Amino acid sequence: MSHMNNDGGDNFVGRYDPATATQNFVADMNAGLAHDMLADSEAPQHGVLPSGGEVAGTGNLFVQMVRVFRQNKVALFCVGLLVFIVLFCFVGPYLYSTNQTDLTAFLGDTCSAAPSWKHPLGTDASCFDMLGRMMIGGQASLTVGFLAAMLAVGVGVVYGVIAGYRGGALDAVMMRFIDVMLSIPGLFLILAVTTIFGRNRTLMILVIGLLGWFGTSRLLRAEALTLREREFAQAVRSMGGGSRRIVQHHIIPNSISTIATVATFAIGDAIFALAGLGFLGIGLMLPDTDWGSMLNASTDAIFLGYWWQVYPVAILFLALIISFNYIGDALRDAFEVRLRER
Amino acid sequence: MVAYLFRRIWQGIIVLFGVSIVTFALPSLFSGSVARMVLGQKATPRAVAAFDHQYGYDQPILVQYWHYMVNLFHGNFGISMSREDFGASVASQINEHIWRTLWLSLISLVLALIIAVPLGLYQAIKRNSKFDYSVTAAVFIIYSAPVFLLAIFLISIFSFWLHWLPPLVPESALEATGVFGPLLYMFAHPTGVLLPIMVVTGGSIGYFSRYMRGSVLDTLVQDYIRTAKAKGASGRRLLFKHAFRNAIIPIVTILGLILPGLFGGALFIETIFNYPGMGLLTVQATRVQDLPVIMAATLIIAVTTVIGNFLSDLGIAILDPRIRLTGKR
Repeated sequence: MSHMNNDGGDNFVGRYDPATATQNFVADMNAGLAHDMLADSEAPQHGVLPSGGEVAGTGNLFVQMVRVFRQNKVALFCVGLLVFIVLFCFVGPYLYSTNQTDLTAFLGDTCSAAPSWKHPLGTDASCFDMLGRMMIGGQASLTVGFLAAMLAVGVGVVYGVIAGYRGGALDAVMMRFIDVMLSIPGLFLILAVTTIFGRNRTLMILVIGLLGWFGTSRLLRAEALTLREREFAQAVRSMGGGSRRIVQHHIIPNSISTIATVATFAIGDAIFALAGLGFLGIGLMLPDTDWGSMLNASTDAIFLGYWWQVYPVAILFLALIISFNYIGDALRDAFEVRLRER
Repeated sequence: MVAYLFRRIWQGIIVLFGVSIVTFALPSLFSGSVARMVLGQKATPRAVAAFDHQYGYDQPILVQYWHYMVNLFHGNFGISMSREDFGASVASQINEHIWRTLWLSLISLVLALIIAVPLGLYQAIKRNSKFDYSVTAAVFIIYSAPVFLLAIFLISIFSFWLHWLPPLVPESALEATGVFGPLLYMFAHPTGVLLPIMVVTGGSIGYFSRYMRGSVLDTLVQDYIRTAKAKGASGRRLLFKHAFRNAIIPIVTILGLILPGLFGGALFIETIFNYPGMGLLTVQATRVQDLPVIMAATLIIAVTTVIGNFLSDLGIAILDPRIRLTGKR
C-alpha cells in the first residue's frame, strides 16, 4: 500500500520459508559448524568451514517453480508461449533465412509489399522481409531484456542485501540514494543517458540494466533486514559463522524466490523500456531493430493499409509482455512476495 | 501528527536535493558534451573551450551547481542547447507545454476513477463469478500491455475502421496556452482529444479497479463489518456505510502515486497523437539532443513524484487515525 512506499521498506514482511531455513540450519549443524564446535576445533576460522551440499535454496527454487506451474495452468500456458517465442526468434532464422542487414540489396525493389509467397508477411518500409525481421527484432528484445534484467537484479540484490544486512548509517545513506533514484521516472533517465552516450545493443543493456535495479534493491534490503534477525541467522552467528556465510548460505537462498519473482518482472520491464525507446524512434539504430522500433511508424502504416507491418508484431509483443507479467504475478502470489504497485 | 509531518517534509527535501544533484550532474559530468552537441562533433577544442567559458561550464563544479540551484529557485531552467532551438528559454517552453499534459492527465484520471471504483466494488461483491473473472482478465491485459499497443489498437478501431475519431490531435492544440487554455480547448474540440483520453483512462482503470477490488475484499472480512452485520445492518447499508468508506482509503492514497506513471505514459501518448504536452516536448528534445530540456522535464516530474508521495502519505495519515496516532508508518 501507498504509505509503505517511501521509507526504506520496513513495512515489507520478508518472506520466510521455514523449510529452507531449517534445512540450511540443520545442514550447517551437520556439515560444518557443529563439527567446529564439538571437535577439537583445529581450524575455527570462518573462511575454511566445510561447505558440502548445504545450499538447499537453489535446488528448491526449481522444485518450487514446478509446483507453481503445475497448479497454475494459465501460467504454464504463458511459459509455453515464451518457449515458442524464443524458438521463433532464435531458431526461426535458421529455417527461414532472410537479408536483415544490407539495405543496398533492395535497390529497385518496391518496399512495403503486401504478403506473398516470397514474403509471407510482406515487407517493411525499408524493404526488409517482415517475418524475418520479427525474428531479428525479437532476438534484440529478448537478448537486451534478459541481459539488462540480469544486470539489474544482480546489482540490486548485492546493493539491497548489503544495506539491509549492515543496517545503521550505511543503510540510511544507501536507501536515501534509492529514494532519490526512484523519484525520477526511469524512462526519462534512460532518455537522458542515451542522448549522451548513443544507442546500440551493448549500451542499451548497460543503460537499462544500470538504471533498473533500484526497486529490486529496496525489496532485497527488506528481506535481508528481517532474515538477519531470524533464529537460524542468530544461531549461525552464535556458532561463529561470519557475515559472509550468513549472507551467502542463508539470506540469499531464503530470498531466492523473491529474486526469481523480481527477475521475471525485470525482464518484462527491460523489454518494455527498450521497446518504448524504439517506439519513440530513439531506440536501436537501423539496420538493427526490436519489436518496439518495428512499431515506430505504426499509425502511418495503419492508414496506408499496411496491416502486416503492425498487427503481427503488435500481437506477438503483447503476448510476450503479458506472459512475463502473468508468470511474475503467479510467482509473486505463490511465493507471497510483497511487491509494490504490482 | 505534527512531528510526523515535519519528518516527512524533511525527508522529501533531502530527496529533492538528491534529485537536483542528479539532474545537474548528468549533463555536467560529461564535460564538453553539451558544447559538442551544439557545435557539432568536429568542433575544435578551442571553440569548445570558448563555448564552455561563455556558458560557465569551465567553472568549478560546486560553483556551477550553486548557479544551477539559484537559477532553479528563480524559476530559471536555463536555455535550450540544441542547434535548432539554441538559446530558447527552457522555462517558457515547459510552461507552455505542462498545462496541456496536466489537464489531459487530470481528466483521464477522473474518468478512470468514475469507471474503476464502481467496477472494482461490483467485482468484489460478485467475487469469483464469471463477471469477476472476465473483468479481471480484461483489466489484466490492458494493465500489462504497453500503453502504445493500447493506442495502436484503439486507433485501428475508432479511426481506421469506424472513422469516428481523428488519429491525431488537431494542430490547433498548439494555440491552447496558459493554465486553463488546454481545458477550454478540450471542451471545444472533444473529438480531437477523445482518443488520447481513452488511452490514458484505459491504462489507469486497471490500476484502480484491481486496487479497489482487493481493498473491498480486505474490508469485508474485518471485525467491524461482522459487528455491523450482527447488529442488523442491511446489505446496502453495510456495503456503502461501512465497507465502501474504508475500502476507498487506499484509492485516495494511490492517487498521489500514479502521477509519475501518468507523466511516463505521456511520453508515448503525446507522441502517438501529436499532442503538444510535456511528453512530446521531451521526446522532441531527445531527437535534437537538447539536454537542458530533458533534464528540466525530469526534474519537474521527480518533484511531482515526491510531492505526490508526500500527499498520499498525508492523505492516509488524515484518513486513517491508526497511522496518525502511533506516528509510525
